[in-house]
Amino acid sequence: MNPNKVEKKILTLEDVIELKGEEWRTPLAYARATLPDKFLTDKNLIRLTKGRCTIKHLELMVVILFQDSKERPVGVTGIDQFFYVVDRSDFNLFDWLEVFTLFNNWLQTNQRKTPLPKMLGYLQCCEDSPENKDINRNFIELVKEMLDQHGFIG
Amino acid sequence: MLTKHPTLIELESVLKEKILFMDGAMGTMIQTYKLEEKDFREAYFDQHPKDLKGNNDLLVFTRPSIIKEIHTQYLAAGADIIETNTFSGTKLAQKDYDLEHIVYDLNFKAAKLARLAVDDFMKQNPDRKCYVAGALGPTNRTLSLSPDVNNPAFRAVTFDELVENYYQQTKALIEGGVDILLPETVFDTLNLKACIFAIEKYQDETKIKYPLMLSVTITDASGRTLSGQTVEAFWNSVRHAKPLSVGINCALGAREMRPYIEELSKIADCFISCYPNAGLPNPLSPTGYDETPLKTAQFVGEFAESGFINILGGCCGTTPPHIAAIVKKCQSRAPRIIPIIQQATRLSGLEAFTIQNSDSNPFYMVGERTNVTGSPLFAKLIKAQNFDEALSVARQQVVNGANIIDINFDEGLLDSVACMTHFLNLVASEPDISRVPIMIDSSKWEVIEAGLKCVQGKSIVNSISLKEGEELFLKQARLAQQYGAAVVIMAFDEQGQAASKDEKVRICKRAYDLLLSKLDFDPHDIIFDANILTVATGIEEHDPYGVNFIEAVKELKKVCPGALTSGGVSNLSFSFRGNNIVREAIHTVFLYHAIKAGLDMGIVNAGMLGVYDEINPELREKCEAVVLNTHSNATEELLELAEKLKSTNSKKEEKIEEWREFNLEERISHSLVKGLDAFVELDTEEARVKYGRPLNVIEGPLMEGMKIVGNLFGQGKMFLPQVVKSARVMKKAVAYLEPFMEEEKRLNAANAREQGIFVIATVKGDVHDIGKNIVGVVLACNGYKVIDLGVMTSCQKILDAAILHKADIIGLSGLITPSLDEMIHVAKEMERQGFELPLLIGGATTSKAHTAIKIAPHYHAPIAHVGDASLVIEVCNRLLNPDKKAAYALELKNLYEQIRLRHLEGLSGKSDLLSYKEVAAHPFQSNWDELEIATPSRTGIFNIEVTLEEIIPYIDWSPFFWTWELKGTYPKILGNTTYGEEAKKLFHDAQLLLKDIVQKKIFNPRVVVGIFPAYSLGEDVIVQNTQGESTTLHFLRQQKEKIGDDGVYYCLADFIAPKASYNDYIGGFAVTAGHEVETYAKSFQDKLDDYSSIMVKAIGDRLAEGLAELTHKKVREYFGYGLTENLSNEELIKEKYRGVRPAPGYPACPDHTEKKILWDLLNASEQTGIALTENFAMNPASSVSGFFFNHPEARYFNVGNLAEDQIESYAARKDMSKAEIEKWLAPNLGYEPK
Repeated sequence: MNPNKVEKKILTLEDVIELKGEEWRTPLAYARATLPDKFLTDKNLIRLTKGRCTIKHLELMVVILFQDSKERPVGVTGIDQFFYVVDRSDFNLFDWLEVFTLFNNWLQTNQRKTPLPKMLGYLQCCEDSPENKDINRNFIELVKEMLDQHGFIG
Repeated sequence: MLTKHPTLIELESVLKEKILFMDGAMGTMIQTYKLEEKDFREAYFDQHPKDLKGNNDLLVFTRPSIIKEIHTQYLAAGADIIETNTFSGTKLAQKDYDLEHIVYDLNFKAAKLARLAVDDFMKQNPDRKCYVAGALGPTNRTLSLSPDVNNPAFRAVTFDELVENYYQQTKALIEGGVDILLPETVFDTLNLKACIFAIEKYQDETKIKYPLMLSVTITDASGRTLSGQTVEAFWNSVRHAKPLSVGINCALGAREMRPYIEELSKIADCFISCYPNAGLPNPLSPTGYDETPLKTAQFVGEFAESGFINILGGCCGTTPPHIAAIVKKCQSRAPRIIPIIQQATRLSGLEAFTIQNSDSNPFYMVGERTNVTGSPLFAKLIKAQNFDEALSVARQQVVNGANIIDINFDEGLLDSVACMTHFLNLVASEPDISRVPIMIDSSKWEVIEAGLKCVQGKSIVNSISLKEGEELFLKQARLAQQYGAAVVIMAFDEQGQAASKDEKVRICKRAYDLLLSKLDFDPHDIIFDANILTVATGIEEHDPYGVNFIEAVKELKKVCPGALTSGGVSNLSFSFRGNNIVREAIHTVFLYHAIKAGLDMGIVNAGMLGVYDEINPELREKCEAVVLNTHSNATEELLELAEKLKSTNSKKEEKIEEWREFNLEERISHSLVKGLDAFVELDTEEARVKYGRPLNVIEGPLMEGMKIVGNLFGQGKMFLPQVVKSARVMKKAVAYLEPFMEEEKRLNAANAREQGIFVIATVKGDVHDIGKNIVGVVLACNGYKVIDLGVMTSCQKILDAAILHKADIIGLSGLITPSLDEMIHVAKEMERQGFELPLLIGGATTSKAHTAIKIAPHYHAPIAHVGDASLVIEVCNRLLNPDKKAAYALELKNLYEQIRLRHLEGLSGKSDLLSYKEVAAHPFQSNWDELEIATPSRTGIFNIEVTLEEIIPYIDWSPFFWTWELKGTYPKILGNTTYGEEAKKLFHDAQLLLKDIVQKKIFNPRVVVGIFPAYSLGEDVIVQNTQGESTTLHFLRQQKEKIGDDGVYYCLADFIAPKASYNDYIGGFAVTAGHEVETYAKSFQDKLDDYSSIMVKAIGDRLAEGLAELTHKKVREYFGYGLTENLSNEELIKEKYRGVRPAPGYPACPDHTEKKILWDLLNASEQTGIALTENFAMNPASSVSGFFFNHPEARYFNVGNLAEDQIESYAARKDMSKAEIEKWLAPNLGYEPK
């Protein structure tokens, strides 16, 4: 439990760089340049990165969100949908970023592509599966197990 | 014609004015006197060599004062009709005591005694008019059922014996002074038909019609008599008695009896009686029944209120206080008014079959293949005494769509009477055949009469005629009437067979007039066969035979209202024998025109009829010319064409025969893979002879067949519903072999071999068993002996059973989360008690991870999680195979160890939970001052009456398919490329079963709703119950850190206004599809039909969920906002409406123990019959409960992981220990409890 998290005030991208290090400046700038505010506001970029998010996580998310912005130029944004799902999940943001990485690698290995909503749907299904009932599972192990056993049709 | 007895006229008049009351149980009352053997002997039977205690009827001799006292108590309680103490007053029943010789005296004396009681009572109460009903019990024999399981054709009694018994009893009762005759507790309709026959015989002799009350017993929730008839089928079978009343008594309590009384009250054109037991039996109660007088009165009071009833009383377990309560509750109620029943031909087998006499009638087919004169195959089988295979001919007729089956044994070399009796007794034991009415076909009256003595349904006599004059015709017609049969009348008189239209009409009209004027025959029980004679014979005078028949039918429908028309269609094309294409075309064309003229039914080969429009146009034209005799060359032209079209094959029958040509092993495999059970017993017997030992058949061709099934299932080429159907066939084969195996075991115990034995149970506190049953079926059909201990099984019972049955594996199943703890307990106990057996874990909430982390560490022997029924065989085989089991045990151990390690690694560094204080500061907030809080139109606790039909649109079918392990959502799943076809079949079967359940009202859905004033206090909701006292509901708040926009940490209490002054409300509900789901499912299980059993439960679950949805809709309407909803059913199922109904034990309120508070608030156990187990599972399983929140923004959410600070606070709020809360909320703990 981290009782102080809500109190921590990180209000700007500069605050993130200050907190996590200078090496974050370029990735954040890249994100900012790739995705207009409509698809990723500063506020959401800060939410995404202020915790245990790594640069690799950020780079992957930018790619996924960019593809999503091309596929769904109007309506709910990919990042809002992502946060919505994470907030309704028992797993934390870091776990979600980890499984996104895992899932993306699996898709690449299998020369597959799938849109963000389907990725989220699949991962939600993994979370809802009986294998995650009544026990605190490791999300990555759980998704690995699901991909090994059932694969992904999408 | 009979003269009505004055009492009958009086009762007919009184019953139109008021409800009459009968007495209650005699046996229950006698029990209270604690009588001894001497009480049954004194003065009369002192020297009798047999024990007599319990032969209650004898008390009219030995203790008449007691019997009179009981009669008087009931009269004083308000009974208008008391029954004589003669339930066992037949020679057959008294034979057990060697007292057949006292039967007349017994009945006479019992009648006198009851008469005396009534007369004395009326003297003292001159304002009361009371009656004596002479009770005629069912005897201890059945005419429709064999007591010998190995000989279904055997009967322990004959129709004639029963007639003799009942005639004697009737005579004694009437002569003793009874007012009414009451054959009661009828569990076999054929017994009652014998009783009616005896009573009619007595009435014919005395020329008086006495008041007759009939009372049937519906044995269980299947809604059928013991001999298998539905209520309507029963009524069709006995309505020829024209009774004063018909009703239901015994076996069920009033609550269970309701749907059947309701049905009977709608279909019977006489008065209705009902005298139920005092609830269902409770062996712990002194009288065996514990329903209170008030309760019984409440139930039957509702019958009276609903207008179902004319006569009310009590059966087993009821006492004078019950009758007094019933009288008090119902005496001011108006009696049921006899409805006007639409006139129709009402036949029956096990099920009713009604033919409305209207122009829009469909054509009904009478199967003709069970006729030795028309079917060489059937004749051959009968001559070879191969009755079992002959039965399959009958079955095939029904499968092919015959509405009635015609049975004929008129063959010179056959003993037709014996054949008819034997075959019809066999048919009676085959519900899939005997569900349809039987047409008893013979030219010999003695054969017909033998047949009439074997059928409990309303059958058809085929045929009688005026051939031998009016006297014989009327005598036979009267007998048919007394046996309760309809009659086919041939257009035949003293001058011979009618061939012309006018002759046909003249003879039939003459017969019609005679029957109506001399015998008061019901015209709807008359079916004319105006002779379909052969056309195209080459003889010119035969050419108009077809058209003559068609025109005669048209005329008969005009001049003989009510009567039906029929004919033997095959005769028509006899001259084209061997050319099935032409014969089929002629029949089709002929029927096309005859049906248009009004032909109601025909004796046809149901598998040999075509579609008029699909006949080759040239052939159709030529056939039409012959049938309608349009020109003189018609026959020649058809003959010419027929030569060209010589048939090479016919249709369906030969398709069936095609696989019947396979070798034995292939036939068995075919039956198993296709799930066909029609021939499996036949083939199993052949295999038993061939393979020498029954076990060799199981291990040989049957297992080979099931291996194919298993492989196809494994490859995804067969689906679970098909596998369960295959299992049904396998079970039938094994059941057939069981007696042989038992015999073999007995003879050669040392050589008997055991199969793998699997003890399986749903654990203590849980009632869900669909998954367990599926696994049981899959195991059983793979050769395992399955010891199924059912649901709510205690740990020790499971372990004791494992020892007793020398189990090889134990399997545990459960659905609700507390069951997981029970499974851990079983594992610990197995360890403590030194077990070495493998343990299998399955059920919807179980998982490999939970098994590995929480269960496996407690037991050293192999534990395997089986997530899917398709995996169980592989797991069991590996666990038991001597060569593989050690390696597999190690594999499991290593796998679980890895999972445990990964789990531990995953735990470190996890958890982004905020403090309870923090999240409590960020609740969902409403502007309560501006929010429109809905006010309900009703509050408090109340029931909602819902019919099954109403629920259907609210069913979400997707989970139904998941039960059967078909993944997808309805209706898309029906188009699934892989298993769409199977899903369609499954859905079709479900719809048929559901239709049956709805039509027969097999389930009795119950709903209780509570709407209470409430306000929130933090995470609690304070509810004001119906007594005005406060009750607290406890909810939990999310603690996982949010990253999205809302930053809200939800708790259900947030959706209730925080102050009482806002006048907010919370709702609660509990609904069930009823306990009948379990009993109905069991009725299939008892018949080895697991497929239907599982289907029933799956439908029960869907109905319960649908009922919850419907209940929610009604509650939204009570709150007003629901009235303006305009949602489609799909939108309703997707819950696109205002408000939520979360259930205790599920994500938004995961604590199951809150269900107890809800139960107390709603008085749910009493209101719905749903009980809570020690783990808070609802029993019956097809039940749903929850809360209603009406806030416009109320939503479902997952409370998720909780930190220790909230658990501590929650424990304090609930006044429970932290450890206890941790146990119930184990799946939500975001920390490792100490």
